[in-house]
Amino acid sequence: MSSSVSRGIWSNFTNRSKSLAIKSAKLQKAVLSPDLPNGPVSLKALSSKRKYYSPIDLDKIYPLAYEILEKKSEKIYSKIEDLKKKGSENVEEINDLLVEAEINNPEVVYNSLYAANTIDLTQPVYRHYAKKQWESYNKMITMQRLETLSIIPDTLPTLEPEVDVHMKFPHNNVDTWVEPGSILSSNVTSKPPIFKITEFKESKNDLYTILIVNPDTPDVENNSYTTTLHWALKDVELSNNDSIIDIQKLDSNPQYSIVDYLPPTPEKNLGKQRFAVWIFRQDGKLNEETSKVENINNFQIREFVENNKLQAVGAHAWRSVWDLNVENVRKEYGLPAGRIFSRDSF
Amino acid sequence: MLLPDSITTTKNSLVSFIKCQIRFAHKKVVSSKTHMQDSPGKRLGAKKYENHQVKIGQILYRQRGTKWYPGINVGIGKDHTLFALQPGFVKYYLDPFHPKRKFIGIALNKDDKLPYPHFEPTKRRLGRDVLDGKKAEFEANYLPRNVQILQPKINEELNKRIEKRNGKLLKFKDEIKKNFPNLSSSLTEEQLDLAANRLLSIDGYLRGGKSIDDARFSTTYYYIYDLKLSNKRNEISIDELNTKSSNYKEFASKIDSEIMFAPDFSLTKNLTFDELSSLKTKSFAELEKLIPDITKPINKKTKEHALSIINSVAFSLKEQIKLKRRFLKPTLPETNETIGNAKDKKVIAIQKMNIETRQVETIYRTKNAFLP
Amino acid sequence: MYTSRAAIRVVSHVKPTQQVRYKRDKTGLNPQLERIVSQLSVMSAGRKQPRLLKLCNEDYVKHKTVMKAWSHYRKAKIQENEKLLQKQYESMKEAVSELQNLSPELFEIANEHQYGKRFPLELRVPTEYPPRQIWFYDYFPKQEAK
Repeated sequence: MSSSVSRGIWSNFTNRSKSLAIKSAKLQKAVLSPDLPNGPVSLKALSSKRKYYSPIDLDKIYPLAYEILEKKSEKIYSKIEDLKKKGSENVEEINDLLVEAEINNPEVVYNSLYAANTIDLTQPVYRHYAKKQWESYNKMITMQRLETLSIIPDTLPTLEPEVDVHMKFPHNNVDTWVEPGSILSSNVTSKPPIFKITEFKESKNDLYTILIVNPDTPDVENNSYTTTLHWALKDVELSNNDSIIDIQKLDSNPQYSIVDYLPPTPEKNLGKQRFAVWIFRQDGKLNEETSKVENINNFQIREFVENNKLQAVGAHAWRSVWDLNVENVRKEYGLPAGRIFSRDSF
Repeated sequence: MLLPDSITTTKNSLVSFIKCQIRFAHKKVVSSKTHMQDSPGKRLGAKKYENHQVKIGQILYRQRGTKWYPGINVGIGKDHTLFALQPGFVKYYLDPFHPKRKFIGIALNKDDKLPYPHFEPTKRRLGRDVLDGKKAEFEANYLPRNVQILQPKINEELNKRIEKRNGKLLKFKDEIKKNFPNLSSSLTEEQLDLAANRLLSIDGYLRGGKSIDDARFSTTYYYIYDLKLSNKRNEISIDELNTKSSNYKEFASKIDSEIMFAPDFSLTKNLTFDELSSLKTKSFAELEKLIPDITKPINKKTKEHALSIINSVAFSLKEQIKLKRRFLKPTLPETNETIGNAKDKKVIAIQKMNIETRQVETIYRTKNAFLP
Repeated sequence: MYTSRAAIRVVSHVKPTQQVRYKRDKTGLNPQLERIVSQLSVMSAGRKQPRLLKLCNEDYVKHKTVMKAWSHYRKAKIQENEKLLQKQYESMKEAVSELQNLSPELFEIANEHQYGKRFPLELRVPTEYPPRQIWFYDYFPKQEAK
């Protein structure tokens, strides 16, 4: 009874990636057997294991359902074979078919539901599930924060997001990503952040530019604000399976940096300042001339983007406000003491 | 047909009685529902017109409901009064994003047209002065009341933290001197401090769940980052920076080749990955040899020995727990050897639920059924 | 042109629930039933629904797989049915157009609108199950007025 339900393409890994299977052998056996031969493996407590009963007759219907879906997948795989034999260069069409072929594979469904952090994003089907997940929450949150904080259009006109951007600061050991728009203390932001940029299209060694700008730098002379460039990286190489920009990457690739990291040091009585992180996809390597930034103050981000033909694909944001630690950060980075502004606007 | 006279006369008198109006004295008792309900005018309407110059807070429009909506740089009160949020010029305008609404906005310049272009950066006004002199000093020293109240507590906590940190540094120094005499003899006092600081940083990263390699790398990276900052502050030159960072890297590799953290965060001799894995297999084999059958009772000495093997450097905390659960079960499974009779002395009665019969049973376990 | 009418799809596996009308009792419900009704009316709608099944992860994935396969199966069946209807319609249309070519007079007669012509009571709409009353023995067709 507890032999594997899979007899076709979904248990054949000669042409398919091993990452389409469930890693844990016990869990895999549980998902691929009609019933649960070792009980419910995913339940941890012994008491809940004992209490658990599978739905009636699921063990009879499941193999039939699996067979129907697997046969369907086999047809799609043969279609892909035909396309490849014809020498089709349409990668997108083949990727769409690959998604269609694997989307109902119970092992893939299991991985994308319960092992979302460790899925192999080189596989189109996992990218499909990750994109759905992103669109259901993170994308909306990011766009909402960008719009309500007027980062769009104060920095760039608009954004059609294509990548998921995660950011965290190395100020402590707690591994949590920063939610877009949250207010961070000057201690947290004193060292450069770490990014994770998830692409949902096929990506091999794509080049990216990253800019952090503050559109709220006071311009006392003109009684207005200017934009300051706080960090600029160019030609950052990322792939589907290598999407993190951390200290290891920065250490081994010093050529990424256009402008060194300048931490936020808001001056007193100026309120919250917005720090927008913009991620751009590049066509090729950036031109040395056009990508040079001489003055980080009064930085014209729109001009920079136009001159370098950058395509904005993602963004993130945080806010900073004056706190008691700002002077320490200024001293650390050799900046002059901050000015003090009047409390009320006139 | 003729009527008798008497009848016609009575008829006439009746008609004349009905026809003539008789007014009696009376007073209207009930008033109309809407009588006397007028109120003075509320002086609604525009207070400032197109292109009027206004200051912050000036009222632009009084209204019932939102006949006009607050546009750029305009606020709305609880009775829907529109007022200026920035000094500028009043503009009455329509916005294509809200085709059914009329807006009142404040343009910062007289010639500006509202609404501002949708994809352009918004025109903003700083509206604050840079203070100097006494005012600046007052403002710089000013803290909100809640921060003032909290400040001593914060300082106290900070001092505690610094003390703890210094204590840890001293401990690391002592440990290096005591446990690594070869290393400490080759280090100057300054280098010893540096080594202790490095170990403290690595300790922090390890406690946060980073791997030892990551922790070491991060420590080195951020030390050199700080050196770069001191170069930025013009405290050291570029050449000094380069020599110092290469020196530190050498120093770090020297320390790392000698000292490692055990799973319980104590300092031990460094082991390479291969050494560690071979030690692991060796210890495991030893453990299996020591306790070949986990269902058999063991004596106290064996237990101590097994514990010493498990708690060695070879296994991570997770593996240690796993091994303890496997080899040193607190209660052994029920075998003939470990089950006694009710009549026996020195047996322990245990109430246990039998899942198959769904009844509570009493089981008598001998003393050797439990871990000594 | 033939248009697929999703609303009138007859899906063979969906059993029509027949609404049964009983004779109304003037005395109302019996006390037992009344008590049940009043108890149910106090309960919130959420509690009246069957509880959501709590499945372990493996079984949830299996459940999803079964539901997916079932929807594929149904879709295939509906498409097959639709194809059949389409074919029927096309052949009818073909026949009619042929009639028009062969004999326009007959075509005219065939398509003539007949006033007052109703669906005869003798013809029942085909259903899945036999009716409650199998045959109207006392029925006789309405006598046409002479």
